Amino acid sequence: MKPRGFSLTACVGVLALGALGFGAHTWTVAHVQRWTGRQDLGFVGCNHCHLVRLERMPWAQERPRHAAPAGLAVSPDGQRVFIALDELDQVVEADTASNRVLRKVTIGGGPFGLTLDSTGEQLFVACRHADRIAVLDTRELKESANLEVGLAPVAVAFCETKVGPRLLVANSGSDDISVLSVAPLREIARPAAGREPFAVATTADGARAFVANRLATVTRQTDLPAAELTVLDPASGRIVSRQRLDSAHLSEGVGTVPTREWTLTPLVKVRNLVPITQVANGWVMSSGLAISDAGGSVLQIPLDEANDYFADPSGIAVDRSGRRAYVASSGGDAVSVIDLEKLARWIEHADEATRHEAIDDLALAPQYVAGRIPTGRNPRHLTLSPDGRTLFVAERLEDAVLVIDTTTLRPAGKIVLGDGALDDPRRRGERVFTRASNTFQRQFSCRSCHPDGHVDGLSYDFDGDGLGDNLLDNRTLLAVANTGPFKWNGKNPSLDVQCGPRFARVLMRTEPFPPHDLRDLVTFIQSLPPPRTRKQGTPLTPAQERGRQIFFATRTPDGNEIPRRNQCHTCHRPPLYTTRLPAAVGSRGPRDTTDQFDTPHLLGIATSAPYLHDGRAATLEELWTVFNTNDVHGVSSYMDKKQLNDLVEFLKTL
Amino acid sequence: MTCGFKSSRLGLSKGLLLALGNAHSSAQARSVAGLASAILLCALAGAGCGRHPPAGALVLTQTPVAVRDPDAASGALDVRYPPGSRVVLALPPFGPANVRVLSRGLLAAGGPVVSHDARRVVFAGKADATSHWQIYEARLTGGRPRVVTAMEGGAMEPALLPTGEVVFSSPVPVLLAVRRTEADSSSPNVGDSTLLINAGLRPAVSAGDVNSAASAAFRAHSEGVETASSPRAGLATGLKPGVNETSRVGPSNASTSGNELRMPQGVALYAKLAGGRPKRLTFGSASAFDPTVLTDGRILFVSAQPRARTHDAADRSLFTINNDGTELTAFACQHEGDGLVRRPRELFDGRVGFLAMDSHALANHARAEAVRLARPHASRGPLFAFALQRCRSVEAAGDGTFLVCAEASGFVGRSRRGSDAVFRLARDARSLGEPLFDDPAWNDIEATALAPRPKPKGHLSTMQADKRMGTILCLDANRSSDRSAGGNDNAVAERVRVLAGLEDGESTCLGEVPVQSDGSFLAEVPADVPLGFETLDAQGRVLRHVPPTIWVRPGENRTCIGCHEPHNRSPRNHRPLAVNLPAVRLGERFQTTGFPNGIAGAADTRTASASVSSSLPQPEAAGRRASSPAEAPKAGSAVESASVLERVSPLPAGTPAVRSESAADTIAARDSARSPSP
Repeated sequence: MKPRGFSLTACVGVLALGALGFGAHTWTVAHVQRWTGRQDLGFVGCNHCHLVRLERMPWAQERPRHAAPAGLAVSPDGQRVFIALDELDQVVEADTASNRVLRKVTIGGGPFGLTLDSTGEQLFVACRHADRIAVLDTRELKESANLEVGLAPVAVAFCETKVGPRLLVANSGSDDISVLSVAPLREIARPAAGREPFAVATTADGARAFVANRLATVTRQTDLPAAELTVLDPASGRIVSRQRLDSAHLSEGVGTVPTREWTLTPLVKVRNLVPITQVANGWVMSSGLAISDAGGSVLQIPLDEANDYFADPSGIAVDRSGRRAYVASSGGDAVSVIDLEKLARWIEHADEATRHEAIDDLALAPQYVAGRIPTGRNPRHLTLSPDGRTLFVAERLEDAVLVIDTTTLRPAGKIVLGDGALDDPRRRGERVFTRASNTFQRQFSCRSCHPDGHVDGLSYDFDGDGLGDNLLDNRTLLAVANTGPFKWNGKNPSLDVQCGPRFARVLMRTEPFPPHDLRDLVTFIQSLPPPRTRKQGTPLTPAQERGRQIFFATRTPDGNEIPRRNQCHTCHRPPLYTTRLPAAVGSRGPRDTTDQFDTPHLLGIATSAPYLHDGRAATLEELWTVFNTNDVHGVSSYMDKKQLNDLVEFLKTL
Repeated sequence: MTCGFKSSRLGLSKGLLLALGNAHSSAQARSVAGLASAILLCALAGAGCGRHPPAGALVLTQTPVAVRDPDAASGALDVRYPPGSRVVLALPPFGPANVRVLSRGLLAAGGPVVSHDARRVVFAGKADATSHWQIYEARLTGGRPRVVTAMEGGAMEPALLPTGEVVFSSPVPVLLAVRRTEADSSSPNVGDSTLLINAGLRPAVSAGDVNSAASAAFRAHSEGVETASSPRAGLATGLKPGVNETSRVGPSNASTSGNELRMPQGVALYAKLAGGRPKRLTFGSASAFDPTVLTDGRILFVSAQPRARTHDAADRSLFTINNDGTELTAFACQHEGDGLVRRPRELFDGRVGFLAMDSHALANHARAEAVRLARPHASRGPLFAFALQRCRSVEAAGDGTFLVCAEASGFVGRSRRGSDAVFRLARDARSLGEPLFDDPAWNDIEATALAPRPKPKGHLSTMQADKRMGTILCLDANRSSDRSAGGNDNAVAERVRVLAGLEDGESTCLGEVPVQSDGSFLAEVPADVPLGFETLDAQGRVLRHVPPTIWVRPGENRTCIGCHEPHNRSPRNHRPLAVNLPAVRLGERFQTTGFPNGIAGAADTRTASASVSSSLPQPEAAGRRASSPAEAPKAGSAVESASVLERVSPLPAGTPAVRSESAADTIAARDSARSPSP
């Protein structure tokens, strides 16, 4: 071809391509505007609405499973320790003399919480993913019975009462407590707990049971949050009292002190209402311990020190003599040893005002903390041998159980369950996620605000955009893979950006994650599946089905067409229930700098209260009854109470 | 070892030259020449790299036991490190002969700091008698030190951030006149707390005497009281004559009459990356010095707590800041008398050690003390179980022990009483024991082990360089550990007067801010200016006074729990009412100019200072606003406006509220007088 001909062909080709591109762009914009009913949108990639398949999501893929220890139980003779391995669906029995695994048994459904009866012949296992309690005969290490309980049971406690033995099960998914009789094994009551019950302890005489709830009860925006310590009568299953732990959450353990009628609940003291201008001096949160006495009064004391923090207090063990308590710091990789006698003396001498402000005094802990024992990664559950001389610590991300001699407060051995799986990027990422050493003075970890990747149910005031401006509700990390952009204002295009330097500057107040850690962290976050909000395989109820029809309705019941931009599924498009586009739903507050907010996905929406970008709506109902009076956030004015309930019921199934 | 290495290189070069000479063809010659070049390059590279010193080596300062000409000292560092002082690398087995000088080619050097990875050493050095002290970096493998700073008034006391930035204090305090005392070598305790250097009647003064000068220099420096100006001072510090007409000298309680210790301006901390410009980090009324970097990434330093009342002694205590100068926080030793505190160091055993001395003692009479990180404000005590006096430095050795430099009198082989040696002590040591390293001809001080230490955390700055203001949010102005001026501790503050510190030790009012019913207030204030506060009751009487102490960096949001609240407290979880209202803007015309190492004022005529948002319910509370352009100060009128300043004395109880609209001008004048360092 001659040069002139080539040039001509090239020019025509370029023009044709340009015209094609222009035409495609114009068509795409028109397509988007037509189907969203929004004229403010320009070009939008196809994958906002199409090409999304749940089975292709990173969290839907098969993942390696590891021997991560969860609950622990020691036999009455102290010779054996039982360890729940929820990822492997196993319970193992180890010899405490040799620290070696003796036997294993497969228990389906994610065995998580363990407890033994008083003789040590029966082991009760809370199966988190199967919503049941399994009973094991410890002689044969074989499952002998099981019973369905509430959603996602994570802890179980045994006690003898005047009317017979009882089991108390914390159902973290359904926010209630299953009270079971043992012989026969049946549920006799299921009272409501606080939000996400996570640990159970009973008094030695079985007169009282205490349930620690992991999250603060749902509050709106600037209300003072408070977690609940639920007190009940194990014999009858009735609630005796609901003790309020002000500004506390993330309680994953509870213990009773036999000699003092104390109940000890580790907690994270959160300060979400104070603008986050710094993290020093526990400005955002600090670790503490709630001491509840028989009269129901609650005292909170710090576990952190002025320049050294022990983040994410998790399990607790109290020795039978009532002299010491041990609290695992799952973010700080340490066990704090609390001298309860010194603590009692301090309480005795402190005046009322001092006790009231004790939790905020970071110089206080040395008065009663007898030591800090370093552990492997992510210590969670603790248990003591009956004689109190040996402490077992489940190092969850180390695949091991640390054995500590409590007379010397030094490690005495380790029960090795796995290799730590450092070749698995997801496991490495989980280590980063739970590690407090990334933050200034090891004050908190990602998990402190996102327990198990989910929400803490609180709103925060970050100072980067002005003090008092742009309050932000904490968003879940579950099922966020492929739902970018991130942040409520949609400014972070990817999780790498979201968790990168901005996060370090605003929250960690240190340096950003090293690139390899960031890569692993993002891998881990993307692997987090949506929360389970109902029992597996359950079909929709009629109410939920009616709610589904309302959600996908294009016309109101009287035949009026709902504008496309106001149809629920236009913005919350299945299967992720989001188009990942910003939208104005009339939620702009007086201190917000924008009215356009990222459209959140709705997977597990039932468990992520409060709602809207600043957490002003405590319930799903309030979204429409209080904050959508002008039909901007969908058309809801035509709904009666029943229809609204149906819609909410459907949303709770997502 | 070094000699052998050199001779082998020489032999190799000679052989190559011979081979080159014997080459018959040009091709051969080219190939041999190429080979020779490659080998020579390797040899040259090898000469630069050398071998890294073995673990266990020490880096320390050696100052001559006999100082030849003490009168030649013109600055505090000349006293601390007399000419001939040097930084050396002591290699095991330790002995006077097994040292390598790291400060080769310098007149004097001292204050070495080893990086966390034990690969860099920085120290203060002086090239010759006429030059300023600057920060130098030396390679542990040999070679001449490289100058890192070029500060106009000199630089001293380096520390290293994990980013590689060098933190240092500048300028170096200058000594002007010298007065003889009754001190003699047999009586090192001079009894007089003032700066005293033997005027030459003795052939040599002990290191203790000269260190007393440094001690007094720092004592005076940290308090910042002005004295008459002197042209020489400006010259001596490298400042342009007339630029700074005031200087600072020791405080009244230090009996400084007769001593002319020139302090042209307060010593501040700076940070500088290699090849970058120095960034100023501290902006308080008092000097800041002796920085060290904690593992958590903060910079720990010594400064003075300004006096709440004129008769109070100024505290020398420990403070922390982030690596960008934000979040100034009291760390330890506050309100513990007027003793001196020096050379804080993290000991990696849950404690921070430092040198402490009475204000009337000599610098070499320092005690080794420590505070626990867990309770820094309530745990001060001796570092060791025995009384360790005459301590010169304490450093963590990296293996759980400490390197202590102290006087080694009484040991066999000492040629002179009173020189210092290096000791290695365990935490439970009962005595100094035998020296680890001792060269009787030198005072061996400031020893640091050449061992890797935990890398300090970094910190991403929250500053916004494009802003000139910062924000102060106080959660409860009524919360204070100070007694109310009128004795009524239950009196409730209605307003808060915000003060800006002036260089003359006084302060000026920026304006007033209404206090909300929960005690909170929110104000935007000029960045990089010392700020103080006075709470006022409904009648305008001063309830509590916090002298200008803190500052905010540009764009920094600073929050306090109260006005001088107890230390190490977390805030109560509540949303302060003040954040529901716009911040009150005060002193808008105080502004930083973006100079890398300091502030310089520039009058901003766009708005009057001490203005207040019109949306606030008490507009009069924040000072009078310029009602017309004619009322607004004109550009360039800063100095003239100073005459109408209302200066606020420290604390006349019951003083009615005053409102100032032109305070900015004075600080602008002050700031414009400051000469930015390069």
